[in-house]
Amino acid sequence: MKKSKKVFVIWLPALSAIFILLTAFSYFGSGTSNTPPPDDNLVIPENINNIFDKSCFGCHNTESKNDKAKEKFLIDKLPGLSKVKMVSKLDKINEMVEKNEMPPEKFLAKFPDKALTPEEAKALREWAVATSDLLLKK
Amino acid sequence: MRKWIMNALIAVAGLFVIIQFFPSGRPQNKPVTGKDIASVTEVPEEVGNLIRQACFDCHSQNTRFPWYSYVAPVSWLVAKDVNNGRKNLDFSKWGELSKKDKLKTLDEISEMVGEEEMPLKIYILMHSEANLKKEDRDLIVQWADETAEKVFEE
Ligand code: HEC
Ligand code: HEC
Repeated sequence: MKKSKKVFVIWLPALSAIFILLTAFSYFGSGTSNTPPPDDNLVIPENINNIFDKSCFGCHNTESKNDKAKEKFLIDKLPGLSKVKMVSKLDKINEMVEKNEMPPEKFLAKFPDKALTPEEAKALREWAVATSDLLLKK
Repeated sequence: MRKWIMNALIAVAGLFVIIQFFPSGRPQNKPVTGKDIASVTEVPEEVGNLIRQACFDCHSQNTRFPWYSYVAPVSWLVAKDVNNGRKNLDFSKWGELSKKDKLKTLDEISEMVGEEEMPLKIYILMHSEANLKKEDRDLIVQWADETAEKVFEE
């Protein structure tokens, strides 16, 4: 084998392999959750509670087996959050429902009856926005 | 060397060369004056240094592009992360956010850093300075929570 060709055959593939390996790493998530101090008294109205129960509570409660969902948002702990954290979570609920990110698509594929109806989505978003507006004004 | 191995290697190398000609969609830095987080909000020097080192490459208009970020397929990955990162949070455009969006974003920062979801693992692999220690993470989380309290009271 000629030297130049040998260099090509050995080094280019080696370099390519390094780059391909680098991209092969994917993202992992891990960690612990932190508990903010309890503060305000939020009362979730019944119609909203029913929506949560049907479409969200299964994943977002303290006893849930879905660790990622638990870490991010606990419906049973929502009323105990500090005002600041509560505003953030309420806005996050609005965002997730607006973008159709919650409930997750994969979950809806298995349980289509848990999907939010357009009316439920609207009610949930309006409640979240109004409640967070109110907290911001106080 | 067996002939098929050689051919396979040449094919891989060829592919590597060819993909260099595909555009990566690498974003540009477009500085905005007066809107960056440090000019709008109080950012202690230590926290400022941490987020500059660990977050700004994906979440600001001050992205540094190292040499390998020009080489496909890494260039594609970098372009995707920076475009996506800025869409979710751009420290250079902090001043453009509404009060609610600031609060929501600060809460996300507190969570993402506290739960070690940010900076992205793949980024830490290439940037040891972004490998935040526990104390560093605590500092950022504390700053984000305190800043949220302040924004709330504004
Ligand atoms: C199948 C389980 C499941 C159901 C049902 C579900 N979620 Fe989620 N939710 C998750 C998971 C998992 C995450 C974390 C996603 C991530 O980190 O990428 C999440 C994240 C969230 C977050 C983000 C919190 C944050 O701070 O980032 C909100 C808000 C949320 N869900 C609201 C809802 C609402 C509202 C519903 C009902 C309409 C709902 N979820 C139904 C699994 C679920
Ligand atoms: C390698 C690029 C990269 C680095 C470095 C990085 N991020 Fe991100 N970040 C991203 C991307 C990409 C997303 C969007 C992720 C998604 O949509 O799942 C994101 C999303 C986020 C979000 C929004 C989450 C949400 O729910 O909307 C926050 C907050 C965040 N990052 C904070 C940080 C902080 C703080 C740092 C530094 C400690 C950091 N990131 C470092 C790429 C990065």
